[in-house]
Amino acid sequence: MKYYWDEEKDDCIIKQVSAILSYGYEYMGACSRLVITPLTDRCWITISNALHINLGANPAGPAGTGKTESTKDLAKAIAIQCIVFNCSDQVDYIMMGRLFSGLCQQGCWTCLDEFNRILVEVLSVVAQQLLQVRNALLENKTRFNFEKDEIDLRPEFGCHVTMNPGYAGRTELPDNLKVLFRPVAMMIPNYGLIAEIMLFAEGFGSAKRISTKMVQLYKLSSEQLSQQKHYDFGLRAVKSVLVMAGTLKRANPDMIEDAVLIRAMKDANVPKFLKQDLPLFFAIIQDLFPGIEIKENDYGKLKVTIEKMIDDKQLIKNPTFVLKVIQLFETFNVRFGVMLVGTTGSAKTTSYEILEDTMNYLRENNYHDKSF
Amino acid sequence: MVKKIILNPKAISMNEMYGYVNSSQEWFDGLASKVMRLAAQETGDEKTWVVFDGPVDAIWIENMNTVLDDNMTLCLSNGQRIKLRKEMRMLFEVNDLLVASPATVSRCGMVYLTPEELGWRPYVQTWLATFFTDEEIMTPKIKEFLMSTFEATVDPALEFIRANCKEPIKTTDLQQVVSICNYIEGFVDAKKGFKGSEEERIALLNCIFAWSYAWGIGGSLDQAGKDRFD
Repeated sequence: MKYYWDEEKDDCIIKQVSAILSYGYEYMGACSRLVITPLTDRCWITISNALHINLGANPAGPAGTGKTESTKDLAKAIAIQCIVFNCSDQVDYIMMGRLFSGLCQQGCWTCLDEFNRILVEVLSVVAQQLLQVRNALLENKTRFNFEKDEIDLRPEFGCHVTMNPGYAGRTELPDNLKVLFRPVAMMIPNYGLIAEIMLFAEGFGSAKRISTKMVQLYKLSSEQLSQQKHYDFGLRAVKSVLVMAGTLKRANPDMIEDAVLIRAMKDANVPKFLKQDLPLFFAIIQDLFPGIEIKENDYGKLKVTIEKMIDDKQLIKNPTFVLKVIQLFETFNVRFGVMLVGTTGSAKTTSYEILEDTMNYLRENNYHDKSF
Repeated sequence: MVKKIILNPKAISMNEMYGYVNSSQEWFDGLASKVMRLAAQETGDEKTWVVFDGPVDAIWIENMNTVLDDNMTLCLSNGQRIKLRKEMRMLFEVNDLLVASPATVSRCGMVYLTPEELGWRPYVQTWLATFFTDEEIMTPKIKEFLMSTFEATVDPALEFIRANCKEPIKTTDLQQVVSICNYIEGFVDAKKGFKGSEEERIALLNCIFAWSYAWGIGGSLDQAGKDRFD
């Protein structure tokens, strides 16, 4: 993918393989970008070449392989706004029509997530609407008839859909819709490359060596630990560890890099493990990072306050319970959505109530830490 | 300050949860969409937790896929998109994830709580400490006696029924212990004749405990199991 200045048009253009796209000049701000891997490249080539022949792209694959993120990132690369919309079975054709008409007039992209959750009867109308837009694009029109209205059309329009084939509650796309999208399969992301570059960006000097170990650890964990529905060793899990490792590294710049990473991996994974998997996990860590001492974490004020709150509620200070509350707090810091999994009577509600009280208490007492 | 909003997603229909457009194209806001919109409008560094207390299935939670990943946007079926603040957190309180799709599981952080690690002891201790505050009924000595009776008897019985008996409706160990406590609560009352000297009360409590114990643990078993538990 290369950027050129077209003298004749007096405009910036982007070329990739046979596709030529014009630069969108949409201001994005200073935001983080993706690590470019061979898979991202393949996805981008598909998208840009699909746009060249006025089609959309359809990245498909399991959860957490970067389908939506790759699409969004290409939009950033050519400075076009990309609207991510999460489809559901309540979506109807009127709403989709409104969405498309807005996209046509503004000349921006949309990335329709979980596209195949839309009901089949709605999908076939969506196919009609997209075909109207495509025909107008092929004729290089600037105004065209869309759903009884005459609206403006800008040539930057793009509609991409992502889907997870084979999951519960998903339908198969009808054929007249399939022809409007160029498919690209995204199965396994390049964990090694992503981990290495992100670690390097977070300030790790020996990123190459420890990223290989980290990827190996995730591979071994997914193979050797028990199969649980709530275990996930995908890209999102890897990414949250990398972000956590970066924060830890900046907080303790003198710590050995291996130890920083181990601590991040421990903090991110231990909360979700069953009791019987813990020794296995620590054995894998010991095998991969021999001779590195893993110190127990010091939670200081947080732990003291949690214990105080437990006392105030006249509950019993069970050490595992205190630990779980701390783990809940740490998971809250790196994830937007958190699930508390456990059978009835395993103190799910109590643990978040204690954490709430703890955070409120620390805040009221002017404990200067943003995270409370 | 932390503010939390708790809702039960399975108590209401999908339309009531995320809002819907009726046949004359009017928009009706849903509970989750309303809650999130209000939370997103807040300013300052107030933290808001939206707690979803109820089982997860592939249907209702998939609408939140874009909420849980980097987009942090709630998409409604009228095409509205609510951008959430990064101080907000979504908390799901679930029993298991048997029917959740990998798309959801990979988006969330997990904290797994095992009932075995906590056990029933903390519950009984707290119950003893908070429920019986009246010295007339319970003296520390009686409490100690009661706790030691629990210690001596509950574990073997739980082990026995888990290994040998069937329950028509599955229970957890803690539930059985809670029902013992509830039975005892019912009987230990001065109006119902629970009085006298310390020794008399201990003797009385021993009988009460035996009865509560038999019904608390044996109550949920089927007939064959009840015979064996006897």
